[in-house]
Amino acid sequence: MTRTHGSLRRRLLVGMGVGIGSLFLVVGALVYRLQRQSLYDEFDRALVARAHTLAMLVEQEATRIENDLGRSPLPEFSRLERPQYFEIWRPDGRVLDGSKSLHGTVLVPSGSLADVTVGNVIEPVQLPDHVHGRQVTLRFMPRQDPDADTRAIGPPIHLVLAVAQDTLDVEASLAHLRSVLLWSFSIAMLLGLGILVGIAWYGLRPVEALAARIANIDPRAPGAGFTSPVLPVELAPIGQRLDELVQRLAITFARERELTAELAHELRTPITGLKVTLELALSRQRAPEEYRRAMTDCLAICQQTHGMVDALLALARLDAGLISLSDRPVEIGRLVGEVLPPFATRARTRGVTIEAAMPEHLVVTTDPDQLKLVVSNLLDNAVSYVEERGTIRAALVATAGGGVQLRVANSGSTLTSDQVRHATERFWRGDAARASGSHAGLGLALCQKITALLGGSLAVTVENGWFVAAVDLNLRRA
Amino acid sequence: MRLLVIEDYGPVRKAVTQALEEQGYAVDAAETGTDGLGLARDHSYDVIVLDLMLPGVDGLAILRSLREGGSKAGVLVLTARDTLADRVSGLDAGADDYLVKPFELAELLARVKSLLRRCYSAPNPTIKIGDLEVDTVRRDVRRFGEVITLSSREYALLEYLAHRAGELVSRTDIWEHVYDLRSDARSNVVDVYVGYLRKKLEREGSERLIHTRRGQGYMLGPGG
Repeated sequence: MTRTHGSLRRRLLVGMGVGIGSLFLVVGALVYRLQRQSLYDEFDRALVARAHTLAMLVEQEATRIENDLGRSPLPEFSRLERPQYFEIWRPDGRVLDGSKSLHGTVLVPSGSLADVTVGNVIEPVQLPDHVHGRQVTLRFMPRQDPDADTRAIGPPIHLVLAVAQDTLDVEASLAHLRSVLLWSFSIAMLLGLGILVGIAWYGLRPVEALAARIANIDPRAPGAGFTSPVLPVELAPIGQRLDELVQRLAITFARERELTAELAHELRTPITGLKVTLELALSRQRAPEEYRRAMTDCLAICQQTHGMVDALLALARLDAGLISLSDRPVEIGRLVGEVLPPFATRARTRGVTIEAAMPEHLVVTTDPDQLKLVVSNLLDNAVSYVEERGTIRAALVATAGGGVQLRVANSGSTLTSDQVRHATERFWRGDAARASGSHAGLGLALCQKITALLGGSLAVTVENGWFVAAVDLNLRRA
Repeated sequence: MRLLVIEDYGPVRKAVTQALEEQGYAVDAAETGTDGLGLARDHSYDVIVLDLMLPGVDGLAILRSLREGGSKAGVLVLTARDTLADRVSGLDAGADDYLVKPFELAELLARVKSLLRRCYSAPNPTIKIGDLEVDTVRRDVRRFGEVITLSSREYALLEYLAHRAGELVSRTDIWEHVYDLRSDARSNVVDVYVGYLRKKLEREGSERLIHTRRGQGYMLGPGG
């Protein structure tokens, strides 16, 4: 079952929705704050202007304060509904005058009267009728008549005036603004989300198309590839990589089919050998030695098949990277000497001479077991291919690059240069090996794989009737 | 009947050759395509059992070469390749039958017998010549309803003469079709075995079945 982690579309929609919503909220809050500030500034300016007008109506004559407020037509300070308020204090804190709207209550000056400066102090207050409002408090000197005689001019007296008005109109405007902004936000968000859904659908269409093509892909018949038709630039690298991956898979599957067919073919022949040998033995009553011969033949077939299966398993493990190396210093000449005897015995039965040139004390750091496999397969190949009474030469030389080269050559090769190129392919066999019936054509393929694992390379050539397998091991000489 | 087995895998070649020999056929065997083609060209085989994947010359090339050379031998192809394309290419190249490895030995023998019958245009496995009956499947020989016991070589000679009943068969033909390469090539071997057959087939006073044409050969059939 495929595990998924969220939806790309949902992520896009939620992410962009949250982003746009936050943007709208910030912009709305900014607009609201600026508008609110503007409305209160305007309100405050009007309140200050009114306070200054009221201050202008207070006169000083000598030490007496003339208050014309009572005579002035100022209905906003006396009306019953949403009245405005003012109150004037003498320097000693006594109330000089107050609006009728106060109805015996008092305004509270900002701080103590002594602290009130010449400038305006504007602050939100709770009005006597318990509604929210704003109050301006200012210190002023009453106007003195410039035409009065000098006796009428008294010492300057600082009075404190507070004027207050409710902010219901401002709050109503702000409430309206909030409502407008909220509706605008809601509608914009709905429209925005709709547009986002469309954009996400349009934008993700190539991804969905690619996903559908990936879901339907058959690596055995990869078709036109993922980069055709043309993908968006963001998906092009994915398509390209997928094409490469599918191509590799197709090659792998083709190779696997080929190998399976080859394996089936290679197994059928020994199975046929076993079957017909046993059927023939059982087809009539025979002498004991005939049964013995049949069983000996069957055993030889089993041993050959066993060797092939072992080689295939080793190749499969190498392909899967399941072979782990255990490196240690190895005297390579001694290792070849340990592997050689059984092949020398086989060679002698065919009159073959083995010439080995192994320098002593050539020590490398490598996995001795894997190296033994390489050496034994090379020698086995040479003994199988060499002509009757021919020669096998095994030589070990130190190379200039700090590595070593092991060469195993046999005379009597009939392979051409074209044929020898296939010598390391699985199940490929030269005629001589095929005719011997003892080779499955896996030895050199195995050698090549192991050599690569050991950090070296295997090269096979034919030189004047000599088949030469050269293993270069770029190993650190100990 | 003389057969040729061309198979590179030793155990199969050995077992098939022995099984065919035990059926009374004269069998030659070749390990490589080159050797097999040489034998097939030099001798007149009735049936060739041919593996396709061979060192030297491959089986299909041998088949084409034989057919181009006018060989009428029945060819039974043995191969481990079982795809339709493989079978078609084998039959197109001139094979008469196709057997995929691994096969049953009994099936191979039955197919060889079938090819031999086709080779001599004898669809009926029992050949009747007058009061003589030769059952080529059970290898039974009866005359006047009585079973006549023959050795393998005697049976092979009789079957060959029976397939060519009414025809004059030369000693060379008999040598080519009844004896393999390992047989003693003495010139009177054929005459000796014809003599053995006559003794077993012809009762005193009964009609002669094997007629001698001096200097020409033998003919199997009533009258003569």
